[in-house]
Amino acid sequence: MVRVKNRYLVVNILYPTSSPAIKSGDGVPEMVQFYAPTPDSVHAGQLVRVIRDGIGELFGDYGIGMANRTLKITYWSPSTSTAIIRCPREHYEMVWATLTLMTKLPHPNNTPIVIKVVRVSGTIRKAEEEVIRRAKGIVKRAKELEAGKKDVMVESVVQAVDKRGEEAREDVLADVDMDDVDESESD
Amino acid sequence: MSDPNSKKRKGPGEAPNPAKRPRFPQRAQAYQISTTPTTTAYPDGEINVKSFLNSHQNEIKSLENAMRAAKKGLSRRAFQDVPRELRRRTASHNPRRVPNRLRARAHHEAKEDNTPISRGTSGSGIGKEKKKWLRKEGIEKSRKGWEDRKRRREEKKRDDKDTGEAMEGVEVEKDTPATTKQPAKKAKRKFALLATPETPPSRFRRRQRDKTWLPTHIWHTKRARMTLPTEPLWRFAIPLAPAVKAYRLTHRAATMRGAVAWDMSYVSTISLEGVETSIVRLLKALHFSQETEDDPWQERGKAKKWKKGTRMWEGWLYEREGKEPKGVAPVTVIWSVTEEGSTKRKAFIRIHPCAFLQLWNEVIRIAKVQKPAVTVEDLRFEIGSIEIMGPGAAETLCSILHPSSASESSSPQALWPSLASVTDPGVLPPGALLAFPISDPRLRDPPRASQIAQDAESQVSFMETIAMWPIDGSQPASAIFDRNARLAAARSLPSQKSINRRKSTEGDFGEYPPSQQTDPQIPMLLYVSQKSKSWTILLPWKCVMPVWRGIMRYPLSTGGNPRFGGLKERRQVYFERSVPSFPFDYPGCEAGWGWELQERAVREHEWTKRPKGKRIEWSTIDLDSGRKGELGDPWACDWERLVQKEGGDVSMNGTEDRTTQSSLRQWPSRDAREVLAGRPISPEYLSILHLFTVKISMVQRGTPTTCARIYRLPTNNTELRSKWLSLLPSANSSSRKMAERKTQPTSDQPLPEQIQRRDLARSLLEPPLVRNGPPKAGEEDYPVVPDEEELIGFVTTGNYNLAEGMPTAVANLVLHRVIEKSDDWKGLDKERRVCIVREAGRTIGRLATWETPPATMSEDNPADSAGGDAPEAIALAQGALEELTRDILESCIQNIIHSTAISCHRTEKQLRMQSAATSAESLALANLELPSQKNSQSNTQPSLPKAETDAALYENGRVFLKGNPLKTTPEIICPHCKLPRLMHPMMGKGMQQPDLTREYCMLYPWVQRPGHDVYGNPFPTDMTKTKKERELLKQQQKAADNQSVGTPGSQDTDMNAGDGTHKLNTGGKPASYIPWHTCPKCKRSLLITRFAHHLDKCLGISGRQSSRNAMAKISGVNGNSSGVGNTPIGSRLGTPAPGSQGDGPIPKSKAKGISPVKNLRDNADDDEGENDTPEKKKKKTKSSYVKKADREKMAKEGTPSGTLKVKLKTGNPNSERRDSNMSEKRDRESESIDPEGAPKAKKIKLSIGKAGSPPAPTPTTQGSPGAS
Repeated sequence: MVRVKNRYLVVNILYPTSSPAIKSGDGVPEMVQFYAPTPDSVHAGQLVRVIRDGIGELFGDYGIGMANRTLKITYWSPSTSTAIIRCPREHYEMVWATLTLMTKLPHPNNTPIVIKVVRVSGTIRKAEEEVIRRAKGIVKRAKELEAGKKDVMVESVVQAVDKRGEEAREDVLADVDMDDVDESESD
Repeated sequence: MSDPNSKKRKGPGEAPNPAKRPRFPQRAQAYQISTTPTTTAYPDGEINVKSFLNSHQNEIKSLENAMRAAKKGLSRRAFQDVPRELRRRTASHNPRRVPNRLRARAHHEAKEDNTPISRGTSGSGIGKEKKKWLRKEGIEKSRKGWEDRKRRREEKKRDDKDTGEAMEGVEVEKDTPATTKQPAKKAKRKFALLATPETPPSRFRRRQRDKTWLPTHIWHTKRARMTLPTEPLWRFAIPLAPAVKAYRLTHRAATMRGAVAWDMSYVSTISLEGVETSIVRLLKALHFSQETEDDPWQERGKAKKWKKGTRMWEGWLYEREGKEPKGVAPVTVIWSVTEEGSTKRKAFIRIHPCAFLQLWNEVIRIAKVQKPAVTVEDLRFEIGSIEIMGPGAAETLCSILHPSSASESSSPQALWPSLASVTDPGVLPPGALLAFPISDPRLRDPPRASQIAQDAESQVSFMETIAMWPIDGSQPASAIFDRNARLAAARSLPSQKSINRRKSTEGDFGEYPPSQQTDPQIPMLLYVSQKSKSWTILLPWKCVMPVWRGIMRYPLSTGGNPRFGGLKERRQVYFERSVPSFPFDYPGCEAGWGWELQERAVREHEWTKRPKGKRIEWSTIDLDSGRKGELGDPWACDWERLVQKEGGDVSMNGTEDRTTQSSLRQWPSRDAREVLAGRPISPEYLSILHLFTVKISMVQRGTPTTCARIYRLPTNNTELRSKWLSLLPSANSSSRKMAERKTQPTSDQPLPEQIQRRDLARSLLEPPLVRNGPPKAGEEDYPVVPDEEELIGFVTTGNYNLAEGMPTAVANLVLHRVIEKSDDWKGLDKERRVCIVREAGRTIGRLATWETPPATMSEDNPADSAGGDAPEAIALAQGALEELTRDILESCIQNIIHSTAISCHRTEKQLRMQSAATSAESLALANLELPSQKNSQSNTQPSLPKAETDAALYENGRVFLKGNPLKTTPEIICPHCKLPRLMHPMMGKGMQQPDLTREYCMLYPWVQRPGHDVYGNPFPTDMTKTKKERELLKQQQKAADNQSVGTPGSQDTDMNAGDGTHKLNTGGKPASYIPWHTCPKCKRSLLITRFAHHLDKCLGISGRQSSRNAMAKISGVNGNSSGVGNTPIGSRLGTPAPGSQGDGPIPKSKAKGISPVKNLRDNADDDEGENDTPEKKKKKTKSSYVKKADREKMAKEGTPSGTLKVKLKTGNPNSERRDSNMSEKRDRESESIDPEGAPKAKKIKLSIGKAGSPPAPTPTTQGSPGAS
């Protein structure tokens, strides 16, 4: 006997602007706002429906038929905006694509969101472990922020971007120089 | 809602189908992960870090819970949780057989699964037939008896009242020997009295009427199998073995980690009190320890310390009388330390209960004659003991035996805790002894692991303690020798209730309650035995239980608790050390003999219990060479037989066990060792049976068990002897040793590493010598068991020895059989130590060697005494094998690569040579041809063919190469078609685009491409396509071919149509190729996919007609043979080809039954056929039947005339079935009916075809003029 094979997607809902559930205070760190909670009105059933509609839009009836077989929200925590979504193994990419292309919360809220699939796993245990791992990381970062430290990750990203920018500028300069040389030669 | 009879369809939830009920219902809870909604996580609706952290932490918690719940939700059955040692094989699923704590769960599971719980048919509460309850009857009876007695008592009381004499209630009498001496006590005590056990509480009294319980009896009955109530052992109820599996666990606990403890309270203690000299004289009179190397009576060293009371001594005690005293039992003698101001001393003799009475009688007799007299006291039920073995024994004891009072630094109490790190009692001084009072272990419950100091300082002090053993000087007199102290300790033991109260009120939580003045001081004496590697604790009888409980609860540092053992475990431990254990392995002693007799009865009973078909029929055992039946009593170590045979005058009636016993002597192993080593012996030693204990180790296979017979090598049959000796692997080992010796000097000189390695590799790779080894048991030439006069002894304990990893045995041999001639006794050579062991009831003997136990028990190497003839293992340097393997592998791979490269090179070179020659030859021929054509007219002499290329020189048929063809010849030219070969494949791996303007040989290099064969064709995948599709494909391909690439089949035409650019094809067969095969009967070519179907039809072995044909065949054998004699009937009656049937009016065949419709059609066909001209016929055959090749041939030859065609066809051996059929008919017709209007020649020709492959000469000659 062969059992039905599933994939479990660990999903985070991120708020680039702000969450409708919560008023954002002034002194709140950006990271906390980014991982803001989702309103309770978005419940698991609604989430499934949205995903199913999205699949229908992207992949048509075929997609719905394929992905809907075992599609289920096994875990949905609005306070942390985290979900574990179960879907058929063969077609988890459809679900993933749909999630990625979702830009708004369902109808009454309509807030811009980014849905990030952080992990695809074959067992619910590993998915749960991943959620725990990430939650621990978030807690650690939030604590550091609260203590007044700068967000190391954001800092490093900023630094990296700056560095890239400088490098790019240098590259461009070099190119220009080369062009100059060519021009002078051709002349 | 509705009446039960309503036929309305019930709702889905109403009556769930019981069959659909899930077998293991999943718990929904496990997969529901709880979450907190946002509103509760952020109550004020505002985002803040604190709530954020909280919500994430909650998430972590809930997910962890979910994972835990999921794990718990895994279905695990109750019997899977049964601990390993309690697992059972039969009825493991039975809820009544699992441990109590799992029973409820198991019941629940069984109920859920709808498993019927079977109940046994024995035991209480259920039962057999009408009786139902096995014990019911007995209980009923006892109740009745009790009522009767009561009534009688009352009657008696009434009578007594009448007589006026009162009587107390009936008291249960002890039938111990003491009670018999009760009246003597009152008058004058002549002899010391045997002790009586204390009267047990009334509810246990009846159960101890003819036996005594150990102090831990109740504890043991719950955990061990005890001796049967009716068959006590040595008047005690002794635990035989733990109820759980224990064999391997005991082995581990006793040798590797942990500890095994035994309640040894059944060991008897005799107390001697008197002046030191008297006691010494008493012991000397009993020949104490005369067998040991050390003299216990010397005034120095260990002996002096022993007599001082700080050591103990183990040795044998012997009977007082006799020239050669008979051993009674091994005993332990402990002196009390001298007390100042008292001349009297005390000593304990500890002896096994089975020999107690014998010794007791001796002792009291000698004690009486001593002056001043020695007071003897029987302390059997006053002093109990615990023995504990194993590496964890010391730490256990250090934790449990807590000194009741601290004292100065060198006292035993102070040193005691430092001994916790001892794992082997061998490190302690021999016979070390400690005595100090301990506190009640129940006050220090639960026991804690004893602290083992690991720092260097304590290590040094520990070493110093062991080396100096300051206890020798500081040991005070032990209170255990004092009767009052023992009784006081037993009396002052607080009840468990009061201890519990103290533990709950006094002291801090988790701490032991502080000691009090009133706490009992339990006198304790502890000694270490080097022989048995055990610690023994002597305690007052009543104080054994608290200490025992403490030991059993001690958490060992290696994990777990100490185990406990029964009698079986004790024997096992001794056996694994190959040490004889008393009394089981000493049949020469009275005690051992008693044991042997008892075991005989048990074994015989076991045998008789079995059904007749399942027990060994001793009388039929065939020992070869005419001997039948087992030697002596098959259930016994039949020493009587040895006695009988030897002394003819010793008259034996077989019943006189006593006589046998008196003629047996257990011989100390030291004497045995010395004699066997060559000490001369006096001849009277051989007059009685001297038994000595040996250890047997098997040479080849076989496991000796108790009662196995031991033979020496046959002495009077040299042939048999040499046969047995050939089984010894000695020759092999000696040769190996010699080889070692040979290699030894060579390794001194440093050889080059390479050579060394090569030699080693060779020796490793050498195939094992095909040795025509010694015969195996059961083979024809396996030697037979020697005769009875070669019997030298019996195995007393034998089994697979876990300590040695091979079967061993402890056996007793008879001295006079081992030593045949006493006059020139030189000691045993090695060959004499070889013996043959045959188990009782077996016919096959096994070769074994025997050896006496090693001299000192502290040496734990049983191999020591075996001598140094064991071949030492070859030691390889670390990593040598790795290196060697790598080298061998590397050289192997190099060889493979090298040979591949060489062969490749060679073929290439040959090809180039050939192509150089070919090109030169073709050039020469071309040169030759041109001039010859030119000069044909001029008629000059034919010039010699000669040509020269830059690779070769052609000269009159011989080719000379110029230099290396690999360099000079760039391309390979096929020697057959003279065309250049393609060097690289056209597709797939290594593909190179060939020059399309050139023409290449058809032998292309093989193609390596996934999904394609070596010709570059894709694997056929379109087999499932319909015919139409295939045809369409074919057409498309054809069209494509016409445009670009030619098929291989059209090669010839392509060559002709060559217009400068030769098209290349991939060669091989097309992708949709299906092979065809020629039918062996009708010679038609058929696709193999249709072949089977065709064969069915063609051979007429299927279809509706076939059965009829078969019937015809069967009936036709005796029927019409009117035709040509050798024509098989089947060929005529078989399914005819259309048109062949109606060639003549054959009503019979028609009547045989083709369906009317078919007949009609056939007839129509026939009519046509009859009128057919040969041309017409030919046309028909061409259209469907003729093979393609034939067709082509015909097409080429053209069609000059009809006759010619026919002739061609008929002359062809591959002529068709239809023709043959037809011709056959015609033939028959020609015989019976007038020929039709067909030409004569044709007829003849046809007959040729019919005749088959070897054409008859006349028709051919007739036919050929017709053809021409």
